[in-house]
Amino acid sequence: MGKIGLNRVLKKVVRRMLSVQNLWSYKYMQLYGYLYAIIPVYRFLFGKEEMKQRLIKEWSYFNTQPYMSSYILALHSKMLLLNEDEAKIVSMRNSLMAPLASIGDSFFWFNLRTFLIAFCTLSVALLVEGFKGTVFVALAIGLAFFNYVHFYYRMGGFKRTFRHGRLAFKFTKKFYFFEKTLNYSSYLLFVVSFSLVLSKVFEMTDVKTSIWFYIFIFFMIADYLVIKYIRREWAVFLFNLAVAVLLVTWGII
Amino acid sequence: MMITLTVFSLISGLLAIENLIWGQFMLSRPIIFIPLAVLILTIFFDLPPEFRYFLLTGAVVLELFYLFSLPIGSSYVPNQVLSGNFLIVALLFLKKQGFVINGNNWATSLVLLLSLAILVSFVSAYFDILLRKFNSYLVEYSKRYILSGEFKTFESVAKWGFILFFSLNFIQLYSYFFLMVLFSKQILSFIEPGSELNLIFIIFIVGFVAKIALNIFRKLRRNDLPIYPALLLIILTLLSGISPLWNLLTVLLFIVFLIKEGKGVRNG
Repeated sequence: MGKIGLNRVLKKVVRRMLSVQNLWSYKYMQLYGYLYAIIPVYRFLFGKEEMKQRLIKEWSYFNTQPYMSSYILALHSKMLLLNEDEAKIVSMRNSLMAPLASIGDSFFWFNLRTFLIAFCTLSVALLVEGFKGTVFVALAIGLAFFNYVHFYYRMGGFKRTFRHGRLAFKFTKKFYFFEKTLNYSSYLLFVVSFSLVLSKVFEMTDVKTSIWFYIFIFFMIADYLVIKYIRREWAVFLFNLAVAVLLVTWGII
Repeated sequence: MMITLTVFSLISGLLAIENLIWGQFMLSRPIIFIPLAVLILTIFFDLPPEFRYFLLTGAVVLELFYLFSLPIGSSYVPNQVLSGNFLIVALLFLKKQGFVINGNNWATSLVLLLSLAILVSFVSAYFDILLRKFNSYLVEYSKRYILSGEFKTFESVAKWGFILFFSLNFIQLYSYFFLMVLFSKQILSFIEPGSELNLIFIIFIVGFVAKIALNIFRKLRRNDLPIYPALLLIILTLLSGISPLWNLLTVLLFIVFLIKEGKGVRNG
């Protein structure tokens, strides 16, 4: 059980961690992918009989945000290395999966991914405007940024958590600020890119670009105000419907 | 066309794996892979500019439509990979049939093909649900290998996850394409000239914009939002008095959204 052997096993866990959602099922969710990733550590540390006894205790559903599963896998590996009781490990796994999923969904899915998509939408808008070469560089930059942050938390999170033997993740003010910045900057990017795409697309038609552009901006601002001050679903719907009917009437006339 | 279809079916299968099973590096987002496909098609097959704009606009609209369909827990997620690939192959097929995009028919064709692509993604989600149910049996079955100490065999079950998911997406794109080919004459005849239909397009876009604005500011419940574009489309098609296919398509979309809403409410 040398250090080189352990490092090799941990690298295998990290590789397998990428397919934690494999065989996702309604009954067990990510259980198969999770066990598939952690099995090399069991094989490294225990004999066949003990491995069997321990793994059968792990047989209950598991589900978290796929990027955040690395923290749980790292703690699991560390606890196995310290020869902790399997019941304690299962308890750790079950208590961490929901809070980490909540943080991961909010940060990665709602904010970082939205930022990437807004950035790429703007790049595509620029492609429509004719900057062919730069847009693919921009797409690559967007993907590189997303995956840098993704790997920082996914791979780096595994490494740091395993090294310290505790959850190496802090929900600090700095993190919250980063999340909020991504959220609002993505909204701005969407507005700019959508206007660019629409203005180019409407040039292909016989309708004046400026009219459509102003209608679009009007809807953006008006919908935002309705949402902000009235805060009712039916109000937004009725407002959109009324303007749509007006536009149709105007179009027919 | 068969070679193109096979290539896009292969891409569809691989991207679906990247989207759900392995990695999640965001290569499978429509805003990433459709522009890349456009670039390749432009370099190697000299795709005309109007088809390029068409696909890029389609990529933006699809991306925004699926932006908040998140794979959280057991949520019901439409298949955006299949949807994007279907949009590309459908357009390439229509191009081969002699379809030309011009100032009069671009809005109609865009809304028609996007509606079909969105329908495909929702139908495909039901096959995903079936596969996830089947996976429950497969994982349950693999438990016996742990009990008998055959850990190598337990690990070898992993490959079935990849094979099944790849095949499901590969076969589906083929099937939806051939369904579209069956109705291609009707589709081409319904893409009629008439610039007043551009109005439908702008309302369609406004629906998406409203959806995004609502989602970003999170003032309303996420699950209620996709219904607006569908409702607006239905009202507009009824008001415009255009072809019955439009009404049929919008009603179908509306039903799909209602089912989605129902599931969203049930899932809490």
